[in-house]
Amino acid sequence: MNDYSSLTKVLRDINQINFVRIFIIIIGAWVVMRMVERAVPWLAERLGGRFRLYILPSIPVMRLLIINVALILLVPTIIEPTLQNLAAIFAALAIALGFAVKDFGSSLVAGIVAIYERPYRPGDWVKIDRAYGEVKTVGLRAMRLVTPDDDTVTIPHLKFWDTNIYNANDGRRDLMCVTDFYLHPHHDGALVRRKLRDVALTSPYLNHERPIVVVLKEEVWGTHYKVRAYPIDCREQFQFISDIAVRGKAALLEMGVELGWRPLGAGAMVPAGDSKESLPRPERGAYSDL
Amino acid sequence: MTPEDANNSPLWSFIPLDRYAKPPELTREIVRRGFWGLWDRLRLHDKVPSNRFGQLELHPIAKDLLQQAVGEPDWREAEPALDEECKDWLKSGGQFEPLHAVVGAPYSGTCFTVRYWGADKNWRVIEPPAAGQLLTGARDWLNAIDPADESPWVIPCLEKCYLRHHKGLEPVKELLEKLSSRRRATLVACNSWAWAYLHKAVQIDLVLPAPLAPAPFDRNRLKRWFQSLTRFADEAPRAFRLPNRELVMAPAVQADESGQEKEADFLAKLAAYSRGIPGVAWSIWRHSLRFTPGPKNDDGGGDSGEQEQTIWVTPWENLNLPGIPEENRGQLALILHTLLLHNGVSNRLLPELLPGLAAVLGQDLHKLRAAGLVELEHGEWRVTALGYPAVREFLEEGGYLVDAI
Repeated sequence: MNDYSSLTKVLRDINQINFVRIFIIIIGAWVVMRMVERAVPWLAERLGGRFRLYILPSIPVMRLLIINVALILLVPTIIEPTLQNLAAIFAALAIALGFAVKDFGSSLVAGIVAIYERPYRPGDWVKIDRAYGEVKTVGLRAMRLVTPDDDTVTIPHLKFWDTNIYNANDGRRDLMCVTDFYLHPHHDGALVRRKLRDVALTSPYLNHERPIVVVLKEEVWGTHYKVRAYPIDCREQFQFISDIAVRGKAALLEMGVELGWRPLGAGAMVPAGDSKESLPRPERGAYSDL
Repeated sequence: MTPEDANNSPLWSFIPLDRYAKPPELTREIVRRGFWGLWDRLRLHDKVPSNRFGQLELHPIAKDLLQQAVGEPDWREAEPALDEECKDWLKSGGQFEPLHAVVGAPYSGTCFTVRYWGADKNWRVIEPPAAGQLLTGARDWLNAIDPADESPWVIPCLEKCYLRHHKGLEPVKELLEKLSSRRRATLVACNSWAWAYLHKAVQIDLVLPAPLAPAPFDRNRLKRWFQSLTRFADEAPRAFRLPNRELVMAPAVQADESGQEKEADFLAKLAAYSRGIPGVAWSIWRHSLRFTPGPKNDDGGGDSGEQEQTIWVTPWENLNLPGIPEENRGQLALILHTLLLHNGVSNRLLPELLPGLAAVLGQDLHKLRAAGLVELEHGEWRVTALGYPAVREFLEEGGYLVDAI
């Protein structure tokens, strides 16, 4: 009874609360957020190029601003905005979040932290757990990324606390792509490296401002080459890798180099080019899986 | 530089490539283009070309009159400027610095100038191989080039001596090796886009350092050049005016008279937009000219005299220049970039250079042709002079490797 009376002291008299105003603020904030979520990506696509990556990350910031403005307008409508009242309301909210919807609350907080720390932004290519793709939206509770196979993966910001997040471009327009070649060991390594460099150098997707590096490692089954280079735009990474792979393969075959095989598990053999791991590097520089 | 100095300076000259600066763009033109560019991108504005300006109805100019108003450029006119620039080098017979290079943008005429220059001096002109030969690995062309040859050489189109293909870099590497071992004078001309690529791919500047480039054509140069290209059959002086009667270019015979009419800034805008490249400016200038149908083609103004007839110039803001289509811009960029890097590519070679786009090349090329950005000339697709500024801007914004001009 006592608790009930203190709550009624915090809240305004029900007759004083302007429900129409509350409704308008909530609907208004929701409409503005939806407009931002639609208009900004549209504008980013229209402007394209480098502007896309400047504009897209503004969505979560704008959303946070809209929510803050809506809260600032809402709170005095519902409670008397004294220090004691605000403290009481926020304490009650904290307890509710802490017990009832802990994970949801944690995701919200992580979402706010993510806006400032920026481990991922819309337009970034990230890998979280086993999912690799382009970040499409960063919401309040979760972010969504679209994989190269067009699967949408929703990942709660909660992951941010205890999972490594691999960001391939980190707000930049380009990202390093690695194209693998698995060759029979009997060949002239210097010639092959030169040829693979020329193959990368003549790719129409190549960003000439970034370096091209061809590295190799001798394995028990043959020689593993990696061509590391950057496409002009991160969205072209798969075309870029495919272009280097196709033309590189043709060039190596013309040189008489035999494309090798690599072991997959005990006794099983697969053609090297068929491996899914030859697609962009989720595991940067990792040789242990070979 | 005073206006007198500007008028007395030679029309053609060569400067170091790293000192090339395109004519400055007027501030209000930057604002206007920025605003309408954004407007166009958002598809909020459809430019509808109109041929009516107040009382005047302007029509495309007849071919023979156009030819008289703006004759064909003669790239040989730049030869004396090249002579002047190479004076000391020629005196020494290329003993200390045997290799010189001239880099020119597309439609700058550099390739023609250097070829004529070499031929006039009886230098050996090293012609590029057939494009297909670069891919087949046939070495006849390279074997015929002997660095020990005592005669001076001219290589007028270095951009045709390579392909952006893993087999297309070896020939130019070998050619550069041969050049670097030469002790006789050799002048190499190269397209500015190919130069930019070869600079990244084979460090061409180590073999051919400090290249020259044709000086940019600013407003003054353009005016003098266009005046020199005017040859009306009736020899009557004609002024070039905007529909609001503002003077764009006075007839050459009146050019030196005092008390001239104030001129509109059309040529300054043209010089900036065309990046000082004469061939590009020449095409846009021709594209902008109009006439009024009727018994008399005069402006009716009393100040300019009865004898003066007028060629009308479309206002800069109303020029309908080619723009980049909205669909598949990524694919289109790859095609346009490839064409510029080679200064034109044949139908047969294009799929070799863009194997990933082989299936869609045909339709994309036709889309680009419909937009006025490319043309098929002598069996080769190339970027049009009218479309070149838009294409360059598009590629630069897209992060592609662009030339220094």
